[in-house]
Amino acid sequence: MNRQFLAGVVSFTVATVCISVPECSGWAPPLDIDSDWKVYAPVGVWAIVDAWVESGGPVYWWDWDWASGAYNVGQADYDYSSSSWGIYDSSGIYSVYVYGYSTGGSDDAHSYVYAVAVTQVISSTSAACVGQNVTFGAITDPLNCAHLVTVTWSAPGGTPSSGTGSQFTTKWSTPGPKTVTATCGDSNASKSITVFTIKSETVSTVPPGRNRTILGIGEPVTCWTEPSVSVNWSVEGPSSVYPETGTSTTFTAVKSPSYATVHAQKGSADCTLDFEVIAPSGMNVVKYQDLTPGVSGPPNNKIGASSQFTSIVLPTSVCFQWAEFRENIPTDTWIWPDGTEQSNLAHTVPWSVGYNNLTIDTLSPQGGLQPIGRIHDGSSYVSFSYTIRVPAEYKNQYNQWTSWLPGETHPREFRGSDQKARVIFNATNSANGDWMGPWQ
Amino acid sequence: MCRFNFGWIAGIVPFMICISSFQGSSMKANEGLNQHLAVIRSQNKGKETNWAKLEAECLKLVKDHNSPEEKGEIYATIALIYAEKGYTSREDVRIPKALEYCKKALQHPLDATTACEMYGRWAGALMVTYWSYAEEDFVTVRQEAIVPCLTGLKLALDNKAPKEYPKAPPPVSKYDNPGDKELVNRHKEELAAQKKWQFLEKLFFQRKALTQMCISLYSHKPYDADELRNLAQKILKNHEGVVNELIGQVEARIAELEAPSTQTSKQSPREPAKDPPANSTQR
Repeated sequence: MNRQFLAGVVSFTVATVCISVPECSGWAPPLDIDSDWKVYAPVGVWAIVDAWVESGGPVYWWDWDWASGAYNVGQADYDYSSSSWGIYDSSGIYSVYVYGYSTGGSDDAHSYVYAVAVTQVISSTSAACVGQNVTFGAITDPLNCAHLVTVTWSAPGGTPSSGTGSQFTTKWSTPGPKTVTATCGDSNASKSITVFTIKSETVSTVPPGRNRTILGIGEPVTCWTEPSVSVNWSVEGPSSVYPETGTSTTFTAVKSPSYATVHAQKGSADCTLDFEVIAPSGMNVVKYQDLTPGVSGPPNNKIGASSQFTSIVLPTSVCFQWAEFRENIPTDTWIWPDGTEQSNLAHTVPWSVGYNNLTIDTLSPQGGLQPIGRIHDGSSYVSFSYTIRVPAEYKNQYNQWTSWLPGETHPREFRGSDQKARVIFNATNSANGDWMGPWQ
Repeated sequence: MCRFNFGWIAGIVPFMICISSFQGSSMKANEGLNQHLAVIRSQNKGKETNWAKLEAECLKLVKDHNSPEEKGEIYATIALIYAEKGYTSREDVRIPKALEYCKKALQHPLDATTACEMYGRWAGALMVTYWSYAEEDFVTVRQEAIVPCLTGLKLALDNKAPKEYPKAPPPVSKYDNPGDKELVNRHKEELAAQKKWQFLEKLFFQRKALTQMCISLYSHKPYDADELRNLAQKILKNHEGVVNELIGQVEARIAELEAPSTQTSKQSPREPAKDPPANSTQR
């Protein structure tokens, strides 16, 4: 009503001016104005609407009408254009009208102002792996306007940690709960996701550095997600996982050299951890102690010597506690200097190592204590030696024994000159027992 | 008062326990069969493995190894071929096969740790299938999955599965003189201690895995520790301490899960700037 009154006053004034001005023929082209069809502005941010003359004009007076809810409304006017601005602090679609008045008459135009707020952040996944790209999208009110306004993103700790646009992709290099915030004007919304990684710890406390990913054959490892997230566990390659779901699993290395990749999957997140499984490659042998020699002196003039050695399976960078070993000792026959033949029948000796890959090997003469006469060739006591072959094997994933130290031997030496005995243990390294005796 | 209908569970549990006879670690080793099965099992590399071929190769062995114990071992190996690599999704084709052969193996005599694992793999296959079900559906399927889980746990506990990782005995030493009776006897003792430890270690891992699965199932929404308590009390008879411990672990896990909260909020707009900045709108 007020507007109609004003329009009447303007028309009357313009008509009066025309009558009194010679140049004015009394006719002016009809006014045609237009304005922005749609204007998008974040809530709390100035929305600027432009209006202009399409034909006719100039406009003597621009009149802007912002819908309720807008505040701080202002305008700048020119003969053929005008701008107006206003702010909404609530999201929505608002109508803005503009009226122009000229000597040719009046016209109006209608604009829509979209006051856009971000109401929700969605993500491609609720959980992600360390280093995995995650894409976030802004949901707005009115809907689908995120690409029409400036949405800024912040992702503390992410790479990148900030950005703009309707979508935002980032990743994190550390595990933990992560929050991404989208801001549009005075509105914002956040989304938290869990970024997790696989941690692992060998069951064996030796060697230190239990997060190692190179394992001995058969070695078990506890794997878990950090932070604690329930996932599906699976493995590519030999070896196994148990259980298949949950926050942790036990990965058991297969009993043959191999590679395996453990997967922890949750939604589109697929975290992996690679393991290498290695077989024994050698043995380090050191004399541990000489045991009590055999009883000497008549009538017990026996050759008895026994020494113990520590055998450490190499490499010591992994643990072979879960490997099954055996000495696969073949038949050997030898003849003592006195002409006596003696045989060592084929037999196997299963053995194992502790966390430190160590076991004890005890060497002693076959057949128990031998009479000293065994090294007497009929004229004098002589030196003599014979060798026991002790090839080492481990059981592989096919339940088959695999030779890994085929040349391992246990030579024994007897010295006739001073009637002493000694044993020498040879593997990839060699270690000697001390001379023992005399037995006479 | 019990809110649940456990009638069907009351029926299935005695069945599950009676269908298997478990023989501790004293099952007779059949090295020939073991080796055949190990060779077949070793061909399982996860993805892109022809599992049906491996299954068929195992089943061929039934012809020559058809005692109940041997069939149990064969079926358990097939179950492991399908299950031991885990699953890539709930549609994984291995899941129904794993379920089928776990159940089949459990109808035959198995050593205790293998039987525990069959129950665990059974429960695991169900869990992978059901994990992303809507809460209202998960309630029902969880009642199905928890039964093999608790049954396996009961078996592990009955076999004195240790709660803590068992201390390893001294390593089995070597000797090269079979004529030394003292050495040979000491070696036999070491070997026996080692075998006992290996059995206890397997039981420990079974107890750990089965316990963890029970916790996972009941720390999944909708939370229902009461239902777990009722079921555990029925199935884990004579292990009341373990029931209480289990419930405590479930409650602790739920508390852990509920601690962090996801934030999605629209904050109140602040007082806007007074002057219209350039490029403040987009058309």
